Amino acid sequence: MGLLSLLRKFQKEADREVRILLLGLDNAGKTTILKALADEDITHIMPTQGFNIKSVATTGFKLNVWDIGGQKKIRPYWKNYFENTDVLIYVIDSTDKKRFDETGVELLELLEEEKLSKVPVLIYANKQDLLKSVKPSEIATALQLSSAIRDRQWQIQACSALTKEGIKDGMEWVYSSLGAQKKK
Amino acid sequence: MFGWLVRLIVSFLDVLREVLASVLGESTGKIVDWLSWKLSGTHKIQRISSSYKGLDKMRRIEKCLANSRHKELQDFREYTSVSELSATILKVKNIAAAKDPEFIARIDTTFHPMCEINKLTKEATILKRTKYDVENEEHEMTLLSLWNSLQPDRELESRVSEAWGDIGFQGNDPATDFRGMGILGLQNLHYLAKYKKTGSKLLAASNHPQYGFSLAITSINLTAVLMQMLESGLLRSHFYFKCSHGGSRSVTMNDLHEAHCSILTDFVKFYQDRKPATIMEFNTHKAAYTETLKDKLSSDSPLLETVQ
Repeated sequence: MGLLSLLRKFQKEADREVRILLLGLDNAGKTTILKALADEDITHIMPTQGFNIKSVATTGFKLNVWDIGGQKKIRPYWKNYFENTDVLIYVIDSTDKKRFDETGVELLELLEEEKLSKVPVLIYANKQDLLKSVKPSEIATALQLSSAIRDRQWQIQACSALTKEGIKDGMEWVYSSLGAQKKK
Repeated sequence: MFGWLVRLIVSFLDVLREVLASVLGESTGKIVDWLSWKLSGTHKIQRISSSYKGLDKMRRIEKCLANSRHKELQDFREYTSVSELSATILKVKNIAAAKDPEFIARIDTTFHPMCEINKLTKEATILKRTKYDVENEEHEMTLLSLWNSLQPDRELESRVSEAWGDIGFQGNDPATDFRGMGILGLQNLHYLAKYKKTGSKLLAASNHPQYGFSLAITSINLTAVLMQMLESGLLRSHFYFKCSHGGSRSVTMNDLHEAHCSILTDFVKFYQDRKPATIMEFNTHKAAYTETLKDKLSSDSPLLETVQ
């Protein structure tokens, strides 16, 4: 291998493009997380009809983050975005206990998708800044995550998109899961 | 006796100023302004006031104030009282009544629409920041009135219900969808539903098998576009035009609701004309529409059509 191609390979490695899919029910906080990742203003977030996409450059990666609307009418379109996904980020509103079942069912369906098989899953237990939020460990139990998620890396991370607390820790996990993927 | 010559030279300088400012920058423009002032003894704002009319005049005055070196004048959008704004201009520019009685006589009329728009902008910003509160009876009543206006023949069985999806909310409780635009989002949508025939037409259009969309959240998205236009200043042209051509003296919250009805109707037509393959194209078309709206509001006919 010549020096030039070695350099090229190195550069390619350094700028690895990563496709991240942000899913979850409506009002979970997907768009707020997307904007928080891109360091944008999060004070006036609209309900998403369709999707938003942002590219975020970080050390070693160029993240292309796809945020798809979560309302029931739009969920059938989620599958159009599965292809070539490197990491799935699933967002849960930790205060919306009434919809834990609904969000659990949606997550299970995603885990059964062939195009998403083996794709690492980060679950953001969002809105932890609110008093009535449920702890991630309780959410994991309620949704029976440890028995439901097999054959892939996964992590549940407490966060608040509003205060940005926990967002970074979640992303650290995403990077490490990408590193592990590369070795395979 | 050379008054006419001075006026001629100064009007030439005013044109030259625009050219120089655009080529060499604002500071060069300011030197020309200073020269004009020395020659004629009048400030630019006085000359604009006597030479231009209507929207053109207000756009030039706003530009002139925004470019001022005085902070009090740069912040012209902060004034909601016309007497306060007039007094500030006269004081900062040191314009004495004896020197330009015409300007003084007109000043309140000239700046009245500006203060009306400023007031509306402040009120709208407060509403935008007011969160929907399920404990607030007025909020809840408005929400129910919204349902009854759009679905007159159908009773809402419970406050939290899947039925909200039929008028275009995302989930079972509309409260969460108002997060971005607060009570302003609700009021805009409610005004459309209750007072406009177009409301039911748009609801029918939203159920189109292929080019359908969710009406309520589309309305909230367009409220955000509207606020973006108001905050950036572009929507001011629509109101100035309305004041100068429609002869209306005040600019009220209803005028903002009307503007929302207008751009929402306009957007729906724009969206459906483009024959989107699926709803997933929504944001692409919204972005394209926002650009055409910006162009319209920057043009010489920025008036948004009133819908029925």
